[in-house]
Amino acid sequence: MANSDKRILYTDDDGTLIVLVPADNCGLTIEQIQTKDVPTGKTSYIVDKSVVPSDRSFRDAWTYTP
Amino acid sequence: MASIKLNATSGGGSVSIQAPSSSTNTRVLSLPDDADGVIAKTDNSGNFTVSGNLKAGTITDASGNHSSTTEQIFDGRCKAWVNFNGTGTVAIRSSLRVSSIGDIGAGKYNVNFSSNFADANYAAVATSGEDVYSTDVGSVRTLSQAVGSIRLDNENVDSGFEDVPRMNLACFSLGS
Repeated sequence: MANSDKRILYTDDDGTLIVLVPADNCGLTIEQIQTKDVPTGKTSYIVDKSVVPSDRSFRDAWTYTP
Repeated sequence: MASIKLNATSGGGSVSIQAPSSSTNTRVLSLPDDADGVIAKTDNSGNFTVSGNLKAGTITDASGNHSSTTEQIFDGRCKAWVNFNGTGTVAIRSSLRVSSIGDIGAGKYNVNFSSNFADANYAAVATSGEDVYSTDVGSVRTLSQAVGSIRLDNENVDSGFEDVPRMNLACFSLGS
């Protein structure tokens, strides 16, 4: 499965849900991208991209509970 | 004992190797021990093909003009770029040296590089665009420029931060 089929989720210090969209051609695995691009100390989750809504009307109110 | 072979693939003609007559210096032509036996070749169209790396100080056009050093070519290359969809399911269309896009809010994105720049003094050029004509006036600005990432905010002057379908970033720098 390609990196781009996944998303990495974490919540930043002000409560905003951050959705990382991983690149396919960067030479890194999804786990390596998670380690590199998620700030140290943040709990993050790798999920299928279908978990993230495509309706962004209320994007800034998004939260995630595994 | 290794041997040197000079073969014509077809027809006649000749191949000559001449030492400079007025020099006392020894000229050395080194041939690597290459497995397939062919390290470089030319064809009748003037194409020159090298199987490995071509090391050169300066490259010119066929007339010897428009010279560029390999350093100039390297420094002028775009070192990182990305084109991504900032609406709906945010997705990268194509990229170089980018590990991920952080969707950090409506109209706000963080671009993470797969390897760090030497410093944060790279030139970052960002644009945003629509897929259909719109009278909206928007602009994208760069923030938090760092060796490993840069933030892009796209703002509509009428309605604030806004997602758009075409977000583009290109970064240029000296060295890597």
